[in-house]
Amino acid sequence: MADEFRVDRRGTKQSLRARNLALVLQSVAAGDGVVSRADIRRSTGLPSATVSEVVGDLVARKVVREVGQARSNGGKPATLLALDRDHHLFIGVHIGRSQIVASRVTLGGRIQESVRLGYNPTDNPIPPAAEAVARLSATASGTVSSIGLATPGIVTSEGVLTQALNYGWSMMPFGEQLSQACGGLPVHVINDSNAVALSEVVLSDRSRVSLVLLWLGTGIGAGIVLEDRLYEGHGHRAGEIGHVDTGTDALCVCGRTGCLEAVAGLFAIVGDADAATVDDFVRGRPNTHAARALAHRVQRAARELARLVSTLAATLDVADFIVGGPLVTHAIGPAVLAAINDELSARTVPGFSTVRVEFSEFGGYDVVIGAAAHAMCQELGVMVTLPDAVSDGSAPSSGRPNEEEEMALSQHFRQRATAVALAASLATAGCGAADGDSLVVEVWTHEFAPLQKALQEKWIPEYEKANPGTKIKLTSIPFAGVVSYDSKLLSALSSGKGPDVWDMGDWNYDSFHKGGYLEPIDPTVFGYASDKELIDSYQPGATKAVERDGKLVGLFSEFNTLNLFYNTDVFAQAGIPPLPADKPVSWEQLGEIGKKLRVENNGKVERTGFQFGFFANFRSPQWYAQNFYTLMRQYGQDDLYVDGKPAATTEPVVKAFKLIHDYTFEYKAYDPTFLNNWFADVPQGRAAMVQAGTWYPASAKESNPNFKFAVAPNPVVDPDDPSTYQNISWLWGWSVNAKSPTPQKAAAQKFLAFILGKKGETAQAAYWFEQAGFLQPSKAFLESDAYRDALKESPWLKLWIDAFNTYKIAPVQHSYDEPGAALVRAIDRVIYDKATPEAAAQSLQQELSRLDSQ
Amino acid sequence: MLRNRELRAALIFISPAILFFLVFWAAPVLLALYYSFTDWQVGQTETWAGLANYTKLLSDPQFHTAVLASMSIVLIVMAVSLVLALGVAIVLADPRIQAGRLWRVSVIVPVVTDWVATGLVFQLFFLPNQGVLASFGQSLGIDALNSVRWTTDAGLAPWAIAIFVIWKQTGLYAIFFLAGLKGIPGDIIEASKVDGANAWQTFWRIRWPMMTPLTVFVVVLSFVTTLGLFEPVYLLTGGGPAGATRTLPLFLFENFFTFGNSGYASAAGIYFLLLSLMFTFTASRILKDRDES
Repeated sequence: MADEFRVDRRGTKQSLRARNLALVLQSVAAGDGVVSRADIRRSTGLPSATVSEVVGDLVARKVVREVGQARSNGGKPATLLALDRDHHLFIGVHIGRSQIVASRVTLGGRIQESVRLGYNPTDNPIPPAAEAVARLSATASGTVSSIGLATPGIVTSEGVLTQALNYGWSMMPFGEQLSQACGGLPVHVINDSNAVALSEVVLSDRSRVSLVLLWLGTGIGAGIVLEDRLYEGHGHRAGEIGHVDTGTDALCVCGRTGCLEAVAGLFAIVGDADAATVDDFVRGRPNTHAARALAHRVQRAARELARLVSTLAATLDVADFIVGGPLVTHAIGPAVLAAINDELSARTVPGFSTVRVEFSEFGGYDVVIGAAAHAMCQELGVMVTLPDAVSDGSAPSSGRPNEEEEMALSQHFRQRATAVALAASLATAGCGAADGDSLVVEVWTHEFAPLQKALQEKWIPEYEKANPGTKIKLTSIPFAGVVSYDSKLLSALSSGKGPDVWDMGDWNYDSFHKGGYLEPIDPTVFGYASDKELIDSYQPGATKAVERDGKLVGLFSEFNTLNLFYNTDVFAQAGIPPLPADKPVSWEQLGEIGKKLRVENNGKVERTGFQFGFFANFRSPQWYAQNFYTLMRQYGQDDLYVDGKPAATTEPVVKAFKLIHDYTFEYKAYDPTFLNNWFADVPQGRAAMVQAGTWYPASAKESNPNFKFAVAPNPVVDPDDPSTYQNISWLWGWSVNAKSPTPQKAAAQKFLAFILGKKGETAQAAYWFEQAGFLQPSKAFLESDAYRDALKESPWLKLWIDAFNTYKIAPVQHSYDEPGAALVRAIDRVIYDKATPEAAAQSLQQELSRLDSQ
Repeated sequence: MLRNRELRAALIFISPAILFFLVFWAAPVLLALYYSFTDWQVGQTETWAGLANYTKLLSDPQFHTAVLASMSIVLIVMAVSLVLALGVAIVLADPRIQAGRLWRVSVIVPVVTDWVATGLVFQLFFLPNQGVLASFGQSLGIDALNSVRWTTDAGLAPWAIAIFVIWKQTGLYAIFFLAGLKGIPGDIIEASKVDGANAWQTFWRIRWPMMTPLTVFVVVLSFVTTLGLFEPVYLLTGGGPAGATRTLPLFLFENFFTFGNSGYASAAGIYFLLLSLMFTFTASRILKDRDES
């Protein structure tokens, strides 16, 4: 900015103010949506007071708006600023050879409406242009701030067209005329190739763009952009290269010979060749005389254009040469481009990189966008990027010279348009999130390989693709790490931070609900009319653990109960017949079987018959509780508390302890100190049986692919007494952070609907089931073909349907809490300290009573 | 006396350290102190509870068990590792033994490894039937080692933890002692030899007394760090069996994070702090008195 060697005028208050305004606006545009006043102060070096004042001014003028608050890391959160891309409207007008195209464009570059009028090029184009503007102004919803007018020829900064050779115009005060015809609206006139060059800049997301745009049509022109600034030259003639002398003897319309246009203009190249000839040439079959002549003309044009390009490259040190104009979409275009690039490679100077020419990605010549961008640039003092440009490929946006080229163009254009539309929606999606900045949704999960894999490889990429503008940030935390997943969740949430959406075990729902961290699930996001309809879409009673006040505060990641898995190889080897799959065995019978399966050699235990979920290295309160509650309930007591009072010395509790005791010491079916890996002990034959859920095989097979297993119904106290068919259920649920910002909350619910499925969708549930063994107890899923297919493949899954119907299933009441910890100690006393069941029950009762008295 | 300018410079230079101390030490301690007088539960607003948490702790058998479990592990660790460390230091410092750099490095290696990584190794080390110790027993024909429940026997579990901690920390104390031994001026030793003192006498009458300040430091350090250890306990026994190794940090952790009893846990933390301060004070007094007599 400060590299001017001479200053021709002293800075005045007004000029400084304008300059500050431009500086600030430039910073806002550069950091659109993520920039705060403090950032601007840092990047511009302006005093805070000035920044505040200028920003205030811009906000008042609705050029800039406040879009929310940055996440604070202490202190007052900064207010983020973005360009107010929808308030100010601009009209871009392109005067073409036979028609005038005008569009109304937002500050974001979105084309709201376009008008196309024909006119006679020998007439003054201003009246039809004014009419186009009038039509667009009439339907505008906001204020039209100014007009950009793109015209062929040399244009002064006052908006006077000094000369347009091909049109025979000279000294036409277009700017003034149009302004008068439009009720005094400011009009900014720009040369058409400069306008295209400008459109290349505003559509580029790079900063400090330097490029030369070569307009190749009937005439040839260039638009030169140096470091984001259009270089117009001393007499506004920069880029008027159509009539430079190439030294050839071709006769030009201007009366001289050797002009570039006469050799490389589109008409000069194509000449009298008809479409068939061009086609022959393009397909590499220059058999006819006419095609050979065409080849010759292409060669000549390419040579002269390459000469020009290399001269410009050497003079300006610009690397980007872009070809726009009718040539881009002409059938001969690619051949000409290839020929130019061939010539350029031959001209490469050793030590310099080869210059290459490319077609404008944008389909060549969005003159109207360029004209509007020029108007914006003049009004605001800075060049802003236009992320919304071409939000819809069908909008008749471009000032294309004629209809037939439009056809060819549209295809190329649409491809690009999709890409741009994607970028545009990325910039604007996320209701209330900043333009140009994506919405980040933070997801936490407990560490479980199939879960991470499903999210990372499928759901997150797919969701981000379907919802450009939303980014999902996944963090996985070991469930039983040194600081466990639950602890991390709780401490993050209680300090007002934490994820926007996460999964957790059902034991957390009480305390998390009490803490106010759980946002109710919005049934409408999932396609249900009411909470009741959502709840009723699951198996009766399944939602119990996540239901609060008739609403769901969590949705199923998985819902499960226990059945008995056993290693069939081990059974066969020990000569034990397979267990019945349709009727549970009793604990007693199982103890006897477990006893037979135990292998001990010279005092070394090599195999144990049965594995409870908890053991020496895996002291999970969840598993202590799950195994214990199953037994206690089968003996006839639902919880350690009866009528709100501790009831740990009752017969069912003592019997449950006794069973664990007998499994450890009488049958020796279970050896808690011997086991060491939940998912490897049974597959590797160290243990023969384990109680687990549908998730077990996927993880067990991960490292032991040859694991052969069968499943039996969960053992009961008395297979002939239905009242002992009792089991636990647990679920892992997805929940949304009630304290997250509204856009995050909305996106989180949407994400859950995406990964879990809306009303009537079963594909998601099927995926989770197949990939991770996670069972969603949704009626639709359990009745779906996917589940039927899964049943066919893994018949053992039927046991879960049976279990949901034949067992009484309910979540455990205590695990990760103080009574849960007391229960862990009591079971430890039985299996490690060899306490009698009665003594363990007694000490548990004491601990519970003590907790109760506090 | 510092001149004004020097004082200012000094303040500027130590201000980051002071700031760090205030933010990461003083502020948390003061906050914990405040919360210890409240009934704060994680995620809820607290109300003043006076000394309720402190009196409740004094009558909480779980807390008593925690203090006892902590103290037993600390005592084993200190007794063994300090003696061992001094021995190692004497060996390393002896010019006749010519302990090379490799030896010194090998002493420090356990110190710089990660608690969690080594903890997992020790888990495997102690595992009955399949573990390292058990396999060692098998190769020697000692089958009884198979069924030794190192981490799940209420009597052995503190020892298992202590063995791990001793392995991990002795090197550090040894390095301190080594520095102390090397720091004793050679002429004093020489003078004692001239006076006819033997090696035993030189050690007990010259070296050891001269190292008193260092010893105080090492004793206090080992007490405070061992008392505060969380990872080895969590990894090896998880506080089990039946709470036999549920040390103070585990008690704190469980109450705070699992049960959400944050005010209660804060009060336990304050007791914890007082215990450390009392020990530090007493240890330095005892050793100083002995030094002066």
